[in-house]
Amino acid sequence: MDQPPEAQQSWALLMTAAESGSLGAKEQLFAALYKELHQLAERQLRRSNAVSISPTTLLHETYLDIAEGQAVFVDRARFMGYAARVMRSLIIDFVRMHRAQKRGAGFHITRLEDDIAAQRADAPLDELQLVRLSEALEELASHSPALAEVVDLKYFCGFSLTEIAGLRGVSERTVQRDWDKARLFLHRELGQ
Amino acid sequence: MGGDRHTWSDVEPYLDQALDLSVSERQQFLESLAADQPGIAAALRELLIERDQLEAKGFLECPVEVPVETALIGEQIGPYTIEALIGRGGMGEVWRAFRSDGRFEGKCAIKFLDRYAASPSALDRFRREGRLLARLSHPHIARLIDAGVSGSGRPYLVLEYVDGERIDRYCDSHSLGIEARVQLLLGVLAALAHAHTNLVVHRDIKPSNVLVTADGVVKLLDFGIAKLLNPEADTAGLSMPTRLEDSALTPEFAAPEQLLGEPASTATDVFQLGVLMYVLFTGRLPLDIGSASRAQRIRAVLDREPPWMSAVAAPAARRALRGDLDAIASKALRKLPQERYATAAALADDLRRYLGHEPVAARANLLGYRVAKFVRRYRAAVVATSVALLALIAATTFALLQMREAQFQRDQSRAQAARAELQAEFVTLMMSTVGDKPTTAEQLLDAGVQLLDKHYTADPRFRATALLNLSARYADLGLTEKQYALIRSADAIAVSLHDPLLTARSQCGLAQAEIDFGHMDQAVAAVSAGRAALAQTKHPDPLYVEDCTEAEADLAAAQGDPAAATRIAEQALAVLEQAKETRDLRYQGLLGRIADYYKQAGDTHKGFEYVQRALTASEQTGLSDTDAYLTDLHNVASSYMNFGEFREACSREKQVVTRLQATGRTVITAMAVLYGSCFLRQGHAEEALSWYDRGLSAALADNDLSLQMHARANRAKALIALKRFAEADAELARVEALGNQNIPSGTTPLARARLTRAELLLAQGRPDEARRALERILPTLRDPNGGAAILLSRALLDSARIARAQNRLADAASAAEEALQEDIRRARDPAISADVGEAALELAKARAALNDPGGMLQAAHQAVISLTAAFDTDNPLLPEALELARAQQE
Repeated sequence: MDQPPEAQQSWALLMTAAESGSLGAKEQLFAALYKELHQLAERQLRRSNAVSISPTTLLHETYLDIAEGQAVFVDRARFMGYAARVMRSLIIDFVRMHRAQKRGAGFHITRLEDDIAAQRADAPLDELQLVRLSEALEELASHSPALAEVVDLKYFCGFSLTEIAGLRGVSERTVQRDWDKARLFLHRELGQ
Repeated sequence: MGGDRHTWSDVEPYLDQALDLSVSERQQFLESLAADQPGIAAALRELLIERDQLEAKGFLECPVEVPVETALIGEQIGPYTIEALIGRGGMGEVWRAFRSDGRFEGKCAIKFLDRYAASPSALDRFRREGRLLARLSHPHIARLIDAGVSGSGRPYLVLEYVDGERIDRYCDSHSLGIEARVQLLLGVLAALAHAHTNLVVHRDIKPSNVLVTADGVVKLLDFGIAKLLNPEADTAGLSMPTRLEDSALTPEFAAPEQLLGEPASTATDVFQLGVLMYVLFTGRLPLDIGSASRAQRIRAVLDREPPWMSAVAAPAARRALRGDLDAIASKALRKLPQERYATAAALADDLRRYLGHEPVAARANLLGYRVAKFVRRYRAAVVATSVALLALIAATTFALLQMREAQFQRDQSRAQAARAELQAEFVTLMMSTVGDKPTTAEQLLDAGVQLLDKHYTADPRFRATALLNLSARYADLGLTEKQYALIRSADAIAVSLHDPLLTARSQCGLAQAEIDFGHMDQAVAAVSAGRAALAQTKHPDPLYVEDCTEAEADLAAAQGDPAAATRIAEQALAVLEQAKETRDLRYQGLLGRIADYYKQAGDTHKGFEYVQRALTASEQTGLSDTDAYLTDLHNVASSYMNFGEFREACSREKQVVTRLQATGRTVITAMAVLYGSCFLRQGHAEEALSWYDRGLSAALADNDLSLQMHARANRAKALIALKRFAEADAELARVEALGNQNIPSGTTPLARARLTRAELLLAQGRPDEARRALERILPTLRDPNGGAAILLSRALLDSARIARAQNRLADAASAAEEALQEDIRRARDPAISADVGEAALELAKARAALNDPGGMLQAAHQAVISLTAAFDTDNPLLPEALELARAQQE
């Protein structure tokens, strides 16, 4: 496992440092996680001829990879919170790159509508909308980090509200409320 | 918009509060807020409306699509070459592919699974189960061709490629009429019926899983895949909300039991088909819950009744839906699985009847259903012919047949699968013959026998097996003559077929019937014939081995060797446990029998242990409403009674009697008598007598002489308490007369009657005669192997009372003392034994008369402790004991 040397010391320490506001620790953690997720995603795609990446699987596997062999226990919920945000950037970069490669090729992902509930869903966002959503999320995170994290986990990483509630150890109702609020905020931001 | 953002943080705290409220509370909240802060209230109102809009259109609801590598096109996955991406669902993406090694022409679909736990054992199971499902072959099922794991450990399924349109869209785009839609549903049902007879449940029927091809052929997709992906979901009832179940299960299409984490069954598919039907006929879901949260949607599925289809469909369709189709959908959509159509075939029959303008079964049921709900709500005592019981019997018969067939399929040929289908058809036919007419279980079985005679003569092997199964059900109902007749016919067939397995089963079944009839020689011959037949087979089915072993145990018990019976029966138990056959009535019944043998051998504690095991076994397997369970519960009650634990005994017996009455089943003699004793010892002689009367009627109806003696001896006891001495005397004389006929198992009731005779004489103020009567019987009771030792402490207590009446106070005290010791020996805990309490009270009385205040006080205290623990507070003995205990203090 070719982890960056700074992360090899301890992910848990790095996370604590980032939380305590230690200068540069946040950036360091972000970069290390980004590298980790990216490598794992590439490896998955290459190794298995995978047809797509499942962010949820990727996050779980990343967690397992880095939690293994760590001297200090890496808190799963906190880790997922950080990683979800990193995953968002990773996905946006993927979308950008992909568009650059496939421009004009007319390739689309078709969604197999799965059930009646899914028919109500909004059309998927395009690259530009994703970038704007990401900016709005940063804005939201600046005063309500927990709300932004719900969106990262649910929309960008595919966790269900039930799973998020389980991860955080709070009731589903609480998560539902956060989700409602976050969506309202983002919708207003994007409507600007 | 900067101003807006300012407003956001102002409004946020109120938003928090409002989001926690229900819709109606929100309105109130807004109104009161408007009075104080109209600006904020207006902004909040706007936000709440926006929130509902966002929910409705699913803003950010579906996770972002991650770009896909097109490089996969042209890749090899196993023997398949990938052609194009055709879709993406909750579980992963689907690709079109073709088989490249030429062995299989044509297209297929490959489904890659994202979220599958990739432990080696899980993958292994995935492969195995996948191959099993691949055997499901039906024109309306999109076949699972293969299941595998790619080089990188990613599981995939290879499915028959169906080029079709979702059923709901197909119906609309082709403007199909109601009948054409019913025809499509019949295709789906045919597929389901086929799968059900192969023990596969779909569990995820919804429009996106039902496609119609351009030729109008309906195809059901993803059979058994929900199960394949989530094998734990069916076990242990622990509803672990695994990631997959969570994402794959759409609450709108889930049956209540799925939402509750209970096992899915064929009735689950019936429910989901009901939802599909509703969607096809009305264009909407049965419960349109709109933008409610997931939790609210789940609650709605569990609690709310859907409106009639005719009430919500487009006006043009309403008339056609009203009546039959409304009734059919309603029956398919019942909350309780057992109230739905039992099988896909039964639902299909009703739809076919609708098409043929014949009366529909669901409709006949409808009135009953509404009435039943009303009755349940008001808890009125319903003593009617129990349709529920019929369904239970049919279901157990069906389930047992199917389990058995499943075992065969594991190692035997596909011919067995055909037989399973035949049996399923037979059960359905049997049910449909009796239809919805009020029917007894016996009539249902009779109908089954007639069907066999009429339609199944061409398949003697099936006929013999079915006869044996039906005979076992007759045995459950206590209809021994019919049971016997059926075994005899099955045996004749087995012999003519020269089939050793079938012969073993029929001979050993016959042996048990012969024992019931008291034909010991025939029983011995039958058991050894069964054994000989078994010896001819190489790998005898453990269930057949168990049949014969159990017959041997029964024989030993009937020949008066309960110790040998326990030993042999425990071997039979080991056979079942080794074969992992511990989840049905057979296992439960055997545990109950072993308990009986132990009791006959005098080891009440071991017997009790086994009865408890039997109860636990049936509770774990969900058989807690069966006759066998209630019999075990009765046996536990009777053990408690024997330990003196009156309260424990009577609360259980009450449960037994209540369950039986609520389901219209007969309360048999042993139960009625035990329950009557609960009243008698509590001082309610009238009520006790009415229960003994019922016990007697049951014994007369069964033509069982020893049970008649038992009921009559107890009646006499109640009559004595009511001071109706002449009647008591007549009743005891009848028992005595029967006793002289040397009836099998008549010893205990006869001894009981003679003991009651002594009690009668004492009550009539004739203690000298009472003493003589008692002394005649006492030696038999003192013999621990005499079969009536259970009555010893009661006799000693009577002896103490007689002695006291004769003013032989020292004798009275020593007899009471002996009774007390005997009761303490029998008790598990003397402090809660009613018998200990009664004996201690008698001892206290004797010692009081002897002027032994210290000894009296000690006994009185013991009496108060035990009587209080064992009886209800209104027990007449309690004040006596309290008075004695207090008298001394003054």
